[in-house]
Amino acid sequence: MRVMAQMGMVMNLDKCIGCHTCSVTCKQAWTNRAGTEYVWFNNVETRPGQGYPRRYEDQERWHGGWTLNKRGKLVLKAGGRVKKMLGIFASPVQPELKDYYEPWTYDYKTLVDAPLGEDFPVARPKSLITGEDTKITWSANWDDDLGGSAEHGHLDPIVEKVRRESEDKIKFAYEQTFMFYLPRICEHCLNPSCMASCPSGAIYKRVEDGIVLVDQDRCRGWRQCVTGCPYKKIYFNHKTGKAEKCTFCYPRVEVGLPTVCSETCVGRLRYLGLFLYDADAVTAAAAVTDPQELYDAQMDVLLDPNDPAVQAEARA
Amino acid sequence: MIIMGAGICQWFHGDATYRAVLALVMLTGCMGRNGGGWAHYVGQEKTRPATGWVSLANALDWARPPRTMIGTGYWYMHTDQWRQDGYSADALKSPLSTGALDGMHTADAMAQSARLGWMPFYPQFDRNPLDLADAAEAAVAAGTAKDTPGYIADALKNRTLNPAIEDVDAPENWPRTLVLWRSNLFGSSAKGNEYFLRNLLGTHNNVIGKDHAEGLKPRDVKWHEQAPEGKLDLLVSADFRMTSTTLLSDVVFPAATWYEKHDLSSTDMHPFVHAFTPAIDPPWETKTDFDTFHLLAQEFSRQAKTHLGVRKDLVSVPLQHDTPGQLAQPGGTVWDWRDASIPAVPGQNMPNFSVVERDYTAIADKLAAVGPLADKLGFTVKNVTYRLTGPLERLSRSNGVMLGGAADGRPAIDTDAKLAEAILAFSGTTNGALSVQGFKDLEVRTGRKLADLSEGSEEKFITFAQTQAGPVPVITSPEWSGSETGGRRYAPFTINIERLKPFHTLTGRMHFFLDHDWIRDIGESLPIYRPPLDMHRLFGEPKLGRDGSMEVVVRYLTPHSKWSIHSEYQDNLLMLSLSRGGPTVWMSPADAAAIEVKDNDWVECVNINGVLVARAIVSHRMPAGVVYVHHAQERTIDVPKSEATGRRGGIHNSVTRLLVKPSHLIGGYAQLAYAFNYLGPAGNQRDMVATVRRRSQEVQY
Repeated sequence: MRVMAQMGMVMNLDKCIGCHTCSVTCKQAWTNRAGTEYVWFNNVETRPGQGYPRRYEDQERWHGGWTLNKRGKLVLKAGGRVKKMLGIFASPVQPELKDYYEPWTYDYKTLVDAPLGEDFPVARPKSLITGEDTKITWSANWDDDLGGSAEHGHLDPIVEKVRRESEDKIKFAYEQTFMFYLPRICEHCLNPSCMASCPSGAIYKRVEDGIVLVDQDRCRGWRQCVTGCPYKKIYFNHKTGKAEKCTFCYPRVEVGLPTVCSETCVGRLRYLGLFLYDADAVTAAAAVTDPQELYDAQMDVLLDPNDPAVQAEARA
Repeated sequence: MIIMGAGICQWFHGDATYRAVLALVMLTGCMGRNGGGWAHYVGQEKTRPATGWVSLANALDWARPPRTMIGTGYWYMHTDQWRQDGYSADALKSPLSTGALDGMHTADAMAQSARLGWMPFYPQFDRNPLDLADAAEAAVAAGTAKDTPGYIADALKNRTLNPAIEDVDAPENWPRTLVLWRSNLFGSSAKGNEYFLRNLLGTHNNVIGKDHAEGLKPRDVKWHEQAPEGKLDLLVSADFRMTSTTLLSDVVFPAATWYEKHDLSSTDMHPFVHAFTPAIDPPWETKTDFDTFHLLAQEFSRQAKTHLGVRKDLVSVPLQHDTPGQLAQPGGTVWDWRDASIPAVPGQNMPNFSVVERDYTAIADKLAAVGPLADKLGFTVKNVTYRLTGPLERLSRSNGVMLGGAADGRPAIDTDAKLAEAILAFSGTTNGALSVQGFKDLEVRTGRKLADLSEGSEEKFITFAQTQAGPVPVITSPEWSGSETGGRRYAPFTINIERLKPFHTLTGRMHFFLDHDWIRDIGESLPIYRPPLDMHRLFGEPKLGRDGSMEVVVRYLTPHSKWSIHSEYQDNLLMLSLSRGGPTVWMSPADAAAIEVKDNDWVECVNINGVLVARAIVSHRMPAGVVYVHHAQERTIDVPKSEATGRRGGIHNSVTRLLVKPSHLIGGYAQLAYAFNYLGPAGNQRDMVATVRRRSQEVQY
């Protein structure tokens, strides 16, 4: 047994009203900079829906996360060290701008400066990438509240899978409408595949609280982490050429403040706390072959802080 | 328990639906029970510290009565939306009707309501009320009139004086100045937005229909062949964003945000009073609305020394709820003094006429202090008068008094924080002594035990500082119908049900049955089902549905978006990046397919009122035959020119207009009597239909 501490966040999805306050306050705090226009450390998706970036859960395409090899051993889905080394100068498998969206702004100045004219002035959308006029065709949350379901709903990888396995059980019909909101931040995984993917060793998991961070001095912009993360919660800053991700608001957590997303949550659905787990048991739990057993296996990794054996081990 | 949103009230027959809801909870015996009964969550808000707020807002401490108005009626008439309504109110009538509404245009119903003292209308007469007060005084002095109300009644009866509403388009009756604050009228709430632009402002507009000249014209309201355009001389607004309204304003005052001023926040939806507390001072030249109005008042008072001085003002107010006026028209009989055989009696079948002396040079001084009528008359809400000697003394100590000027020695309310303190001091919900006094007075009148609901709270006095420290729960008070005593949650009417305090109705009981002439003639004496209006039959709009052409006629609904109630937030860059980035129309897959519209295609929603250009969101969440255009999508962001008119597409309310149900205009009869922010006509626009077309995808700006 190797006792480790992990900052955890539990979200009660029943309480989420999809207001996006968490996304906005997070963005204001962390990613309101050039190079991170498209970066949403926190986002809220409507399900059924494709998520952000589009279809990020389709690991056949994005090669994120872990898989079991023929010998039953846990390996990165994107391939082991040798494969990665051989392809290191090729562009990694990663979402492109069209899979995220082309961020934009508006010509707000016109509203103030327009001379007397024959019609109302209007602020047109302008691409933040090219600076040119643009028509908005995708956003960070295009399918909010099932918007566009007629055209895009079937592209949700989960919908695809359920339909395949249940002979079209999910129908998008008015009388059978269902949906829910899924707020997402970095999982700060116990066994982070982004960290395992990084050729530079720039990603680390803090010993004291398990928060996963990118060392901006060591990051060389290989972007293997973007491939490695199955949640696509590592983003590439196209101005600095480095990877960035949710920090679990560690400067706040360190002084006893909640994360920005938790503090500003209107529904108060986010619960923060520290839990203990057995670092030695993580690999085995992740390598369970039957998906039905994954939940119990992962629960078994957690340790009871009142157990004298755990306390003794933690002090050792 | 039935919890209602505001949507019901925006349908033409919303009152019928509302009564059906009330009937359900009454029939199941759960009205006035915690966990049962009727509740609403938006659209009918009142403030918890009701007495202090309404009295100071209306300056009842300095002069009475004030002028308050029904917004729906005001804009329906002054923006000439009535000219589109070429149908008669008897289109609604029951087979058993006795003909009270026969041949009446809605504008006639409005005019009759005003002249019978049911609902207010301003301006009042075709003459300046200051000059009229002088003329009345002179006539009384000369012995040619008994008193001022009698003088006015005689002049109206012999038509030497006329209600302004009867020639609302005459230049002397136009609204000339409009001051907006905390409001985005032209980007959000103006139902019939294009008529506001055309008739009120006289600017670019997309009104498509012709005035309904061929249809029924009003009998009592004068029809001008050409409707006036540009009635307003001056539009002033205060805001911190560039909105559709500020784009149109002659003067824009830079406003402070919520985080830069002191204020109170309360609704009837939760039992707490909150404070707004500034995090920073208002930056640059921005000012709080409190300071803006005080500065305006100071300049106004300075100029008044030259221009207005002290004048007498003739004020007409309708027969109001919780006053003797609500018993003035027994049986709910229409007793119209326009009929030669019926006398005109002020306060009985016409409004009350009062003379108020106004010292225009003292407006600023009065605004900054609590006036002497607070001591002399107290403040009255729901017919309970609160005696204010104690609170006034304490307020003088905590706020200080004004020195010099018209308000010398009066308690100071010259800062926003002090005004908040005064509102709390003058309300039973926030001042336990007032609540107990109010309940004791009610005990005498009703013979029911009530004072125990707040006894023990006599020493409880919620101060502004307490509300700044945290939300403060309010005290049970006669201003409200529910009890919070002993930590109970508020539920409406629990005091009426448990203590048998009479309801404020004709019988003192809850009513299924209404017997007013107009109600009976439209067949709504009992709650009945009323479907949405047939806009085709009544107004000649196209029939609902698809006819095989490349357009579809749908019910055009404008609900609140999940991200905003009215204007703010939904159109900032981050929120737009988390949605579709501009104006949208939610459509069903069936309707979209019928006109070959794909998700994100540009479409136009058109009817006689105007045009909206937006992108389609096609979702199975929408039923066929209905589109959603979420509230307060403005013309400032990504709105191209329309194909329908060649002009910039409008806002969500460009495709709506006000429809007024005549029975909402009833007054002077028990519970059907006007009260400010309580009873008046709802602004109905939900019955609207619009034609949706796919348009060229090459949009021009």
